[in-house]
Order: sequence, then C-alpha cells, then structure tokens
Amino acid sequence: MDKILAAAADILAEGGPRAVTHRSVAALAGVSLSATTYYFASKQDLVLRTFEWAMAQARDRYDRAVAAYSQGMTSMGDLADFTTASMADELRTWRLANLAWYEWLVEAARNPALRTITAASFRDMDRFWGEQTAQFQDASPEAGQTLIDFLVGEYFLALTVEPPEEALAQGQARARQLIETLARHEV
Amino acid sequence: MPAAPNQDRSKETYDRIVSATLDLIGRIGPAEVDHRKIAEAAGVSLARTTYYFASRQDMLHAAYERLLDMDQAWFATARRGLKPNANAREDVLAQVMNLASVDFGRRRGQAMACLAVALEARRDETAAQVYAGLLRHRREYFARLFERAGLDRPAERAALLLSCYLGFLLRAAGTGSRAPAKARMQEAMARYLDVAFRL
Repeated sequence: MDKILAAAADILAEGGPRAVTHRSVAALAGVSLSATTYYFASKQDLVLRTFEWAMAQARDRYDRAVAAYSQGMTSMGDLADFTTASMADELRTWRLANLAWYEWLVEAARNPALRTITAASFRDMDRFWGEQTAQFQDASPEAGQTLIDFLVGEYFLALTVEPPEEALAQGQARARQLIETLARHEV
Repeated sequence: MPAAPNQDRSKETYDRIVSATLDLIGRIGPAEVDHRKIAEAAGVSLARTTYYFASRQDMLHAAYERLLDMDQAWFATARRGLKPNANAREDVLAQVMNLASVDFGRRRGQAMACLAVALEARRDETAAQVYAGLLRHRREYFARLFERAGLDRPAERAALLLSCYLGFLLRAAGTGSRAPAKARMQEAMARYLDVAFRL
C-alpha cells in the first residue's frame, strides 16, 4: 500500500494530477494493475489518498526533525538554523513530495472540491511553525504567520527555478535574513 | 496600404484562439487544454484551431507568450503611473495592494496561468523562459518601489517581498473559495513590508 502511494506521489510530482492513473502507478510501483484498482476505487480516490498520504508523511518528517534537533531551540538564531537545515532536507531529499504538494495546491485553485484537504494541510503548517516561533518572546505574534507565508513562496521558487541548488542557497540566505529581522521586533 | 479585410479577420480569429487558450490554462490547467475545448471557448470551428496551431504544444506556447506580453504591459503601465515623492511606506503598500487586488480580481485567471506556467517550467523550455520573465517583472517592480522609498539594497528587499507575496497568493488560491477580504490582504502585505523595510 505504501509502495503504491509513494509511486503515485512521484508521478503526481513529475506530471501533475492528470498523469496519476491506476496504470501508471502500477507500472512504477511494480505491482499488478488489479492491485491498484483493488485499493483505489476511482482515479479521484487514488489522487486524493495520495495527497493525504503525502501530507501525513510531511507531518511526520517535520515532527521528527524537531525532535532530532538535539539542543532544543532557545533563540531565533536556532530557529534560523533549523529552518535552513529543513529547507535543504525538504528540497533535496523530499523534492518530489514537495512538488506533489504544489501540484495539488495549484489544482485545488482550479477545483474547489479539493480545498478542504489543502486547508487541512495549511493548518498542519500553522500548528508546526506557530509552535516553533511561539517559544520566543522577542518575536511578535504575527512572526510565525509571516514566516509561513514566506516559506510557502520560497519553497515554490526553489522547486520551480533553475538551477535548484542556487535557488535553494538563495532561499536559505533569505530565510536567515527574514528570521533575524523578525527577531529584531520593536514594540 | 490598409490590410485586406480577410487578413484583419484572420488576425482576430488567431487572437481569439490565443486568448481562449490562456483563459483555459488559468481555469482548467494546461494538461486539460485541447483543440476541441479551445474551439468551443473561442467560438470558432475546430478546423480553424488546427489551421493555426498544428499541435497542442504550439497553442500552449502562443498562450504563454501572450501571457508574458500582457504581464510586461501591465507592469510598464504601473511603473509609469508611479508618482514622484510619494510618502514612502504608505505608497509602497498602496502599490503592492493594487497588484494584489488585480491578481485576486479581474486578473485572477492570469495569476492562475502564471502559477501553471511555473509548474510547467521544468517540463517545457518555452514555459521556463516565460516564467523567468514573469519573475523578473515582479522583482524589478518591487525593487523600483523600494528604491523610490529611498532604501538601500532594493533587490534584496524585493526578493523577500516576492517570496512572501507568492506564499500568500498560493495559500489564498489553493484554500479559499473566494478572494481574501481586502482587510486581510492589507494586513498581510503590511506585515511583509514591515520586514522588508527593516531588513
């Protein structure tokens, strides 16, 4: 099941939602066509569950990344280190998963039926980054929201602009600048 | 010498087909666009669309180029409309809000087409070139705004603002059933500018 969903997520990232079919997923996952039709009643069902799966994976990745951040975050400088490290991991190791997320988001902009699940995905992100920034008294309450908006745009650029490594390096430099500026909040 | 009427007519038909293609790219995405849907949307015969565009890809490319031309024209007009010596902070916010209200208002289809082009860029060379142009227009425009406000490092501030703006656009388009309220847009843009000004 995981193998099928992982293959579907890769296809979604490479070719967009239209490319995700029972046939293409079965071929990439190396399973029979009947295995995919057994688990997924329709193409819609297949695409939807692929996204839900990718979302759950992302949630786990982020939670694990924070848990693994051994020192614990005690300053905005730590948050900048964590953010730039997770950018590198997400945009290199999990590039296709992130592309799939944006393919889905842009598809949801065209199709209102998909927006319940994209909204849930943003709530995950709000919770995660909200918790990370809430630990710092020197950050304004809106700092977390600005950081999220920035990262949503910056990841999109890093995934769509060539060459990817250069886009990532520039994005990381900007993330650091942004977080340092947010930390210098004057009341 | 005036153009022959049938040349005018054929140019009009061509334009209608390209406009309909661009409109459909924004509404249903490039993957779903085909000659039949475009003929229907443009109100021309299927034969007309295949006459001007042998392949689906030719048609998409013509629409991407049109998008870039329209985008360039919009930013050129916006730059000409900038008043000298305006109050820095409020004026930059007003210009960014103007762009946002256009992206979420009458040009929503075009904004959606821009996002589609961004995703196509890694699969299609023409889309990649058009996408680079779309980004350049926004970066240059934002940089111009910061420069007018008398700030140093306008390009750095512009890049930061662009990422935030893009994030806002993606979230609002991908989750909202309608355009975000003006007050919410204004609050968000003011937050981004606060950071960009203090950078």
